Amino acid sequence: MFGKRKGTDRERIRERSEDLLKAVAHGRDLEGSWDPAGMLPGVSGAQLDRIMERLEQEELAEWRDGGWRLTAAGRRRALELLRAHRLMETWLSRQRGRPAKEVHAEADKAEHLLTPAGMDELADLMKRPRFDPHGDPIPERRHDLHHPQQKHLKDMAEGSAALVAHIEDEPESDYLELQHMGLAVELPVRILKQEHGSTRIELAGEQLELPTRLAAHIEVVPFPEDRPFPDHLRRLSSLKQGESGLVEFISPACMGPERRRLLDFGMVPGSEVTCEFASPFQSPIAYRVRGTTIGLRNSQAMEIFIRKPS
Amino acid sequence: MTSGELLKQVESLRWQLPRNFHDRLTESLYGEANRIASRRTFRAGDSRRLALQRTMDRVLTSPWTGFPVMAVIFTIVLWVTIAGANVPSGMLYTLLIDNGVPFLKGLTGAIHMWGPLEGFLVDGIYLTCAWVVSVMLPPMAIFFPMFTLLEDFGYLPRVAFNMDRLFQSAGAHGKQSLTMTMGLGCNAAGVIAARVIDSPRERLIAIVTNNFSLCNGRWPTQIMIATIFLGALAPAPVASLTAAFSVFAIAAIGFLMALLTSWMLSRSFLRGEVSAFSLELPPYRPPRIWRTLYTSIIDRTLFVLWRAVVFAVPAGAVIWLIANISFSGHSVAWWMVTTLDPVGWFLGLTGVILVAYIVAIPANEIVIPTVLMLTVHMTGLSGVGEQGAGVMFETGDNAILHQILTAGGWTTLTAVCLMLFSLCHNPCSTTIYTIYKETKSAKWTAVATFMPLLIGVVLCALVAFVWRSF
Repeated sequence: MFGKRKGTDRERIRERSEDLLKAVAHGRDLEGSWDPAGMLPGVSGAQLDRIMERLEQEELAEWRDGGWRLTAAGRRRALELLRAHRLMETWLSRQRGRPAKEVHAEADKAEHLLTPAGMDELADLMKRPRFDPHGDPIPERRHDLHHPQQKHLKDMAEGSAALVAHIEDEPESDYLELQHMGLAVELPVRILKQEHGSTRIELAGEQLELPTRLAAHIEVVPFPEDRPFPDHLRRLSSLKQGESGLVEFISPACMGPERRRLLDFGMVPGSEVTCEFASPFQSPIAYRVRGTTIGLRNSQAMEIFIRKPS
Repeated sequence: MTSGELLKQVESLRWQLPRNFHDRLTESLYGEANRIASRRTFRAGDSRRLALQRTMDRVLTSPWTGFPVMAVIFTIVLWVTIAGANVPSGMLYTLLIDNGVPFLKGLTGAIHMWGPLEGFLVDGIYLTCAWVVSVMLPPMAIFFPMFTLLEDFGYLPRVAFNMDRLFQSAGAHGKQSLTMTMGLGCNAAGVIAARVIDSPRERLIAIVTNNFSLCNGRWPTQIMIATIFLGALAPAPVASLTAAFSVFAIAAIGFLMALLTSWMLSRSFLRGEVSAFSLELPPYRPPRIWRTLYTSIIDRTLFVLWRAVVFAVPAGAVIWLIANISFSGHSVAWWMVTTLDPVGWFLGLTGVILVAYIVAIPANEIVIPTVLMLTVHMTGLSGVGEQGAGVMFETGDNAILHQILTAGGWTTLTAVCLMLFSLCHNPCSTTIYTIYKETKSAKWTAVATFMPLLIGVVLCALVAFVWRSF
């Protein structure tokens, strides 16, 4: 599946020029012009010259209308690299259960080694996923990139309902902070208040105050009009001892073996869960589901969504 | 419609599906299967039993009673092991050594066996094996079944449940408490048990720190030293309780060391995300005593005993040889002990103990017999062990043991440091080999081997320094 890897200088230039192509594709505007230094921050001028020389030689990029632009071949290659990166991220988190923190850096390395045939193999293995773990669309094998109609969270009207569609994974510290707050793609949110410097949202019965720095990383799609907004949604972690709820779904952020294990325990839609007792340090907490008692840490109980029976 | 158009349409429809449609589909299948099943299955509504289970869970996991109950249970297990093992140990000793050795000597005498060969076989190999059996079998035959009973009863998962938070803050997994309790029986078994931890990072932490669980080969050392030196400090009625308590304290220090080293590893070389914890807490049920006795004696006790005997054979041979082969007028053992004596003093130990630990790398079980043999060899004590040089022996009489060890220059400090060193030193060769097999990494095997040794050296030197300063 992977090609051979050599650590030569030429190889490094190739990898950097691939990084540049991917960065252009990541910016979603494949037709427009861009500044090489802006796409590859931290790379020296001499190296940038060599990178651009190489891209020009291979007819992947050209200087046209007063700026650097991708050629048709360049656009294809750029989408291919983006596809490799997002497939790799999806595979690492779904199949290997790797934490979100690690998959980005690992995919950055692996994408240079993945051949187009390898990508197809990987995609088929996972039943051709459409979105990576961060909610980004994965380019198709015929190199089309689907652009969903997404809006920034901070542009949504007060009182509107939406589904989280994308969470930007860079910078990492912001991403982890959002993850820690329990935000994940596909979760329904209600925008309560747009203020200068922050956005207040409601998610599963809890209010979250997002500073603009964090809100800027979140893109949403309007909540489908043909479905009622799930106002009854709560996190399992909100149950107090002795209370019960019915499982609605497990957060898409919970993937791989961890997700399968929860499903095996019977944490499936419609199951009744009761909060039984806590350990001496208040975490983990024991829940009873389908006649089995299981201990879950708070971070996991946050990923299971329930409805309280009225 | 051409095939190209058709593919395009499929592609665009594909993107119109809800995002998590795959997961939703799988989950609704699970959900539907469960609904159908629950419509046709009926649970016996034994609510009184459920209430009892609840009450037990409340008691065993509450912030007030959870840990005290845990401490009491483990102290009782240890105390029963210590107190209960004495009598059968003595009986085995009488059978295998008091009667066995003269019997074998009679046999070898009858066939006029060459003296040194007789010494090598009977005084070296047979005596070491006999010692290992009589010292190890009774405590194991008590400890393992009791442990299995706790497991069978459903208590051990509650221990992992209670402990998880501690392990989480150390960057490790709650199931590590299960591998550690398994390690109380045998570290090699504990290392293998780490397979239940899914995250490779947390599994490695569990493997590297498993040695801090006092294994079965070390319990007899702890128990014997605690009984002879620390129990004797207390008035007679509470002597065995004092001994049990000091052994419990050492085990607790081991637990803290495991947490501390886990914390250090997860903050340095094994940095990474703390993974999920999901553990089934099975219902309590009355343990099946006979079955438990049978399986724990066959699967665990005899298995571990056999391993110990296999390793005791070469160790017994080496012990006899170093005591009987001489260089420039002194035995190899004498040279080794004399060279290591200054190091031993620095660590609050003796040269004899260090030599014993080198010889006993194959099995921790033979540390004490080697210490006794070497002490008699070095001091030339008469009245005990008159079988001759390099003869390993035990005596059921604690007073005589105390007399031998004091003659070897032992003090209470030596006892304390030995107990600490027995907790913190390199794992036995079987465990080292198992670690290599499980991690496939020479680097981590080396870390698991030398880290506890280094900690032991620092700890003992520190204790000896502070002790002597007062």
